[in-house]
Amino acid sequence: MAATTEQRAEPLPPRGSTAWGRLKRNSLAVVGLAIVVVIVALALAAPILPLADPNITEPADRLMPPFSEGAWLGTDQLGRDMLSRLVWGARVSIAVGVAATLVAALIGSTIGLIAAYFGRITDNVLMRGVDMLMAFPYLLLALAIVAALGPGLINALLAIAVVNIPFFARSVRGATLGLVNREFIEAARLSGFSDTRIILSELLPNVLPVIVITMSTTVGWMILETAGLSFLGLGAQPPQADLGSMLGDGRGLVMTAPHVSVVPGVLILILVIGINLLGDGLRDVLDPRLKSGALSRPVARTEVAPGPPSGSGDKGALLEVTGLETEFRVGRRVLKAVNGVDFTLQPGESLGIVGESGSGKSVTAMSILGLVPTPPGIISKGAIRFQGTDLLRLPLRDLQDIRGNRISYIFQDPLTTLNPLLRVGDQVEETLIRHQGLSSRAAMAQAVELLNAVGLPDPRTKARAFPHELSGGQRQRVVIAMALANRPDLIIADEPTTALDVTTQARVLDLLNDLRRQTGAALIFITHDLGVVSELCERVLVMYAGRVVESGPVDAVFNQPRHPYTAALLACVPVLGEPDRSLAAIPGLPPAVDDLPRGCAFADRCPLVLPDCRAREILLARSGEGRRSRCIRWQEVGHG
Amino acid sequence: MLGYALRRLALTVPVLFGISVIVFLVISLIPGDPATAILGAFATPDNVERIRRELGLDQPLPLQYVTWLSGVLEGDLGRSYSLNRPVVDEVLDRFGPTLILAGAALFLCSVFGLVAGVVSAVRQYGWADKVITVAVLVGISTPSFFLGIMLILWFSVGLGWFPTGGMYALFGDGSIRELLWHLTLPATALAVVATGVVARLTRANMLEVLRQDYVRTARAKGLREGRVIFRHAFLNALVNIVPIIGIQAGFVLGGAVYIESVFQWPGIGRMLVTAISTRDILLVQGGVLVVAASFVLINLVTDLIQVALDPRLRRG
Amino acid sequence: MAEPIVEARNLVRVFGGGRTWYGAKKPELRAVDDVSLSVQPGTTLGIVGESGCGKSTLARMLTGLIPPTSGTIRLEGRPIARLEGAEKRRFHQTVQLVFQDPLSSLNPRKTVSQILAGPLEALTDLDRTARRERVRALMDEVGLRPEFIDRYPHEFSGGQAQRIGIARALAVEPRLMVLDEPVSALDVSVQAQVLKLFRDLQERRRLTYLFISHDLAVVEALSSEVMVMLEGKVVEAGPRDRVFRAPRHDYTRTLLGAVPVPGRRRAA
Repeated sequence: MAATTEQRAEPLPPRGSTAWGRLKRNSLAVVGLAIVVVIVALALAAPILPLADPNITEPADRLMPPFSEGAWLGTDQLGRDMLSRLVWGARVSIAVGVAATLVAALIGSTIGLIAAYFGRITDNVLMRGVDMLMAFPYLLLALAIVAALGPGLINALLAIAVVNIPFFARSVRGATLGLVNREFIEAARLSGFSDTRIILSELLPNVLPVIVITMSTTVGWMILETAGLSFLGLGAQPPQADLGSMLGDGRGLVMTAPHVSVVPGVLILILVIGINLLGDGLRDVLDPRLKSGALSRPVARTEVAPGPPSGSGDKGALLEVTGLETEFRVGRRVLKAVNGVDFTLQPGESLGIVGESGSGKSVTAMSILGLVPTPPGIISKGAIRFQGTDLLRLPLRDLQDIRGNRISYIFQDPLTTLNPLLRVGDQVEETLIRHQGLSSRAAMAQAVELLNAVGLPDPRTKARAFPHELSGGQRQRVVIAMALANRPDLIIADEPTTALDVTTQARVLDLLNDLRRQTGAALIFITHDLGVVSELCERVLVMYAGRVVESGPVDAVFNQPRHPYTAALLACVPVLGEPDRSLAAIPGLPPAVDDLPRGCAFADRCPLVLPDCRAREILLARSGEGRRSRCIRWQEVGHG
Repeated sequence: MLGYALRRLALTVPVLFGISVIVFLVISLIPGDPATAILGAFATPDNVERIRRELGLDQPLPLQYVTWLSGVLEGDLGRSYSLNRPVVDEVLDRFGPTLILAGAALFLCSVFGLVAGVVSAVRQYGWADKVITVAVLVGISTPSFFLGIMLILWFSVGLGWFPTGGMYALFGDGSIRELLWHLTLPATALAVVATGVVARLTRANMLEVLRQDYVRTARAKGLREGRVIFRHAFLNALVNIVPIIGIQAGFVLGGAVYIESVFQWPGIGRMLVTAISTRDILLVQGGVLVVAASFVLINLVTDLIQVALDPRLRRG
Repeated sequence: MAEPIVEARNLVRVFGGGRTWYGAKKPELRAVDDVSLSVQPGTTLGIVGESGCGKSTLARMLTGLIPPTSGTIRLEGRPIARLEGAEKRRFHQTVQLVFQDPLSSLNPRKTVSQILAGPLEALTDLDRTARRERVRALMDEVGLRPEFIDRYPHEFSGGQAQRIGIARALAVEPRLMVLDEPVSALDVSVQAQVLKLFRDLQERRRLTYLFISHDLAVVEALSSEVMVMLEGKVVEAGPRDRVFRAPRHDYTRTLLGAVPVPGRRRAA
C-alpha cells in the first residue's frame, strides 16, 4: 500500500512544553489540584493540628449548630467536635480510597498487560474472568463480598478494589493491544529481548499514562463507594469513622440537625470534584490524542477572516483563486499551510496539483468549499471565485447549495469517507434528493444508474451493500458516483487513488477520465505522484511549502522544468524502465511552515541559490508560453 | 441478524454460569464455619445440622456447587432464617420495586445524558457547553446517598412537594400517579451520576465522530448541518453510546442499594443491606444472583441494539 | 555459484482455519502458498506484489517473527527450526528487518541511544563503553548527526526516523537485511535519500537484501533478482531485466502496464 499520504491538518503538538507546564495552563485542573492538596494536607496533618479529640463524647454539648463557641462546625449527637471528626474522617476515607485504587491498579494492570501480550488462551481465560466480574452490577459484588467477609473497613476496601479490577484490566489491555502489533515490539523481538523484558521495558512505559489516567478517574469513585459502604454501616465500624459513616450517622437527624450529615457530605463532594478536575486535567495532558487539541470538532465551514469582498477578474474562468492563505492556529503557533496561492481554471480543464506532504496542496483544495477543519484552520486572506461568486463570502446555506452540486469532492481513503452505517445506495441517493429534490424512489433509481455508470457489477444489489462489504476499488467507484451525481461543473479529487493498488488505481483513473470527458466537468487532481498527473491532466501546479513554485502545461513542465524544485523532484523519483539512473536525492528537508524564510523557501536545498534568493520574496513570474515560475534563475534550470 | 441474536443469546449461558459460580463461591469466603455464620443468631444445633445437609457442607466444593445449582434451577434459593421464608419468594417480592426505580433512573439518564452530550458537542466551547460541562462534573462527583438526603431535606421537608420515602402513600389508592409522586425524588437521585457519565461520553463520542472523514463527506455533499449531525454523526456516535448506557444499568442497579435505603424504597437493595447486617447470607446470595442475572439480560438487549445499528458487527 | 545466504523451500503460512469450539469451520487464509526462494550473498532479491499478496508475511517468516505452517528455511546452510538460546542469538545476528512505518517501529519512550543499544545488549557481549562507541559509529554510518543521540523518535522527520530503524537493524552487523516497504511511508525526495543509503551500505558492507515493495520502479532501481507475487504464490521470478523487459506472466504485464510514468499520457 502506498502510504505517502498528505497529513491532513493534524498540526504537531506544541514542542518543548512539559507535562507539568501543560497541566498548569489548565485552570480547572489547577483548581482541582489545589482542592486535593489542601484536603490531603489537612488529613495528613491531623495528628499535629490543634483539634479536639474526635472521639470524646460530651452529652451536654450535643448537636451544637455550626459556628458555635469552641466548635465552629458544631457537634454531633454525642457531642463530639465535628471539625475534628471531619479531618480525621477525611484521613480514613482518603487512605482507604487510595489503597483500594493501588490494589486494583496493580492487579488489574498486570492482568491487562499479560492478557494482551500473550494473547490467545491466556487472554481468553483472563478476560473471561474479568468479564464475569463486569457482569455484576458494580456495587452488588462488593456487597456480596462484604456480606461474606463481614462488615469492616478493610473488607470494604478489598471489596471495592476487587470490583474495580476490571476497569484497569480492560483499559490496560486495550492500550497494550494497540501496542503489541506495533512494529517496535517486533523490533524488540528481533533484538533478542525476552518476553519479560519486552513487557517491562517496551510495553509498561507506554501504557503507564493509561494506568495513571485510569487511577485518577477511578480514585474518586473508590472514595465515594467506600464512603457509601460505610454509610450503609458496612464499612468503618464505631468508634472509627470515615466521611461515609459520619454521613450515615447523621441521616436520622436530617430534620433536627442537618449539619451533622451536610458537613461530611459536602466535604466528600468537594474532595471528589477536586479529584475529578485533576483527573481530567491529567488525562488531557497524558492522552496523546488530546495533546494537539485534535478533539476539537470541525464546524460546518472553515472560518474566514473578515476582509473586503473582491471584484471579479477573469470573467470566463470557472474558478479563480487569488492570494489564498490558509493557516492553522495551534496555541501560539501559526502554521501557514497555504501561503498565497493563485490559479485559474477554465471550464472543462483538468489541473493537477503536485507536491510533497505539507506542501499545502490538500489544504488548498479543501479551502475551496470551506472544508478545512476549524478549529484550528482559518482562511486568513484571499478570494475564491467560482463562476463569478466569491465562495469565501457566501452565506453557509448558499455554499451548501454549491457543495456536492456544482463542485464535488473525491477524497483519499474510500473506506473512511463513506458512512459505515448507511447502505451505499442511500449515500448516493442522499445527494440527489438534496440537490435535485427528487422523490426517494426516483433518486434510488438514479443512484442505481450511477452505480452502473461507474462500473459496479450488479448495481441493484450493490446499492444495498454497506461500505465494508465492498472492496477498496468498488468503494472508490461509489464515491465517484456520488461526486458525479449532480453533474458538477468541477470535480476536486484529493489523492483519490493513493490508498489503492496500482492495478486498481489504473482502472479507477481510466473511469474518472472517461466520465469527466463525457460530462465536460473540470477537474482538480491532487497527488504526490507525478506519473498520475502526466496521464490525467493538461496543466499542473507544483507546490512547495504552501506556495505554487511552478505552473504550466504538464508536458512542458515535466520535460523542461523551470524551477529547481520541479527539476529535483523529477530527478529523484525512480522511473520504471530506467533502473540505472542515479537517484539525485534532494538534500535536507522542507522548512517548517510556522517558520518560513523571508525569501525563497527552497533556497536551503537549491543548487542554484544566490544571496538574492534569500534577501527578498520571490514572485511567481512568467517563464514561457502559459508558464510561470517562482525562481529568478529559471532560465538556467536544467542547464547546469 | 436473527442468527446473531440467537448466537448472542447462547453466549449468555456461560456468563450466567460464571455468575452463579462467583455467587456460590462467596459462601466459601466466609471465615470460620459457614453454617454458623449463615445462621448467625438463629444458630440452633438443629438449624446448623439442617443447613449443613442442605448445602452439603461436608462434601467437596464442586459437589456442593452442583447441589446448590440444581436447587437454583428448580427455583430453590434456600431459606432466609431472619425472615423465615423461602429466599426466592422474598426476592421476587422485592424485585419489582427495584426494577421500577432502576428503570426510571435509566430512562432519565439516557434522555438527559444524550441530549446534554449532543448539545455540548455541537456547541463546543460555547456557553451551553460550559454550563453542561460544569453540571456534569458536579453530577459525577456527587455521592448519590448524600444527594438523596439533600433532596429530602429541600423538596420533602422544606417545600413539602414530595414524600420523604416509601413507594405508595400509607393510606393511598396505589395508583400510577401516586407511584410517580413517590418515584420522582429517588429516581432523580439515582439518575444524576449516570446522567453525568452518559452526557460526558456522548460529548466525547460526538466530538470524535464529527472529526471523521464521512462527516466531511456529508458536508462536501452539501447536506444541511441538521442532517449531517443527526444522520451521519449522531447515529455513528450512538453505536458507542448504547453499550455505555448498558454499563450505566449496572451502576444504577448497584446504586439502588443506597437510594432504597435513603428513601425506604421496598426493593432488593434495601433488603440486601438488612440481610447483610443480620448476616442472612442466603438472602444476600439470592438477591445478588437475581439482580446480576437481570443485568446480563439488559446487556444482551443493549448488545442487540448496537448490532442492529452497526452492520459491521453482524459478521462472525 | 556460492552457497545461498538464505534458501526457502515450499513455504506455506495459513492464518485462521481450524474449527470453533462448536465445530464450525473457521475461514482460512493461505497468506503464503508454496513459495521457494534462494538469495546469493551480496545481491538483492526484490519481491513485488499488491496488498494482500503475502509479501509481508513472507518477510515475517524469514526473520523468525512468525513460524511457517510448513516448509523449510535454511540460513547459510543451517536449517532454522525452533529459535532458542544460542540458536536464536545467532539467527538474529544474521538476519535483521527494516520496517515500513519508521515511527511505529521505534519505541516512543526511548532515546536514539537506547534504541540502538537494545540489540547490542541482548545479542552481543559488548560492554557499556563499547556499545556507546558502536552506537556513535552507527549513527555516523546512516547519516544521523551525533547530537541526536539523546533525542526521542517524535523529534525526527520520517526520513530521519527510518535512518534510526536502519541503524538498529545494522547494529549487530547482520549479513542479510529484509527490507519491508522501507520507503513507502516517505515523501519522494526523502525516499531517494534512503534508497541511496541502501545502495551505499550494500556496497560498503557487502550486504544481502531482500527488498519488499509494491512500487515497481523502486524495486527495479534496487534489485538484481525479482520475484512477483499474487495471492500468496510466486507468479514469476528471474533476473531483474528479464522480468521487467520481457515479462512472461500476464499479471506481471498488467502490473507493469498500470504504473503511471511521468511524461507518458494515458490513452483517452
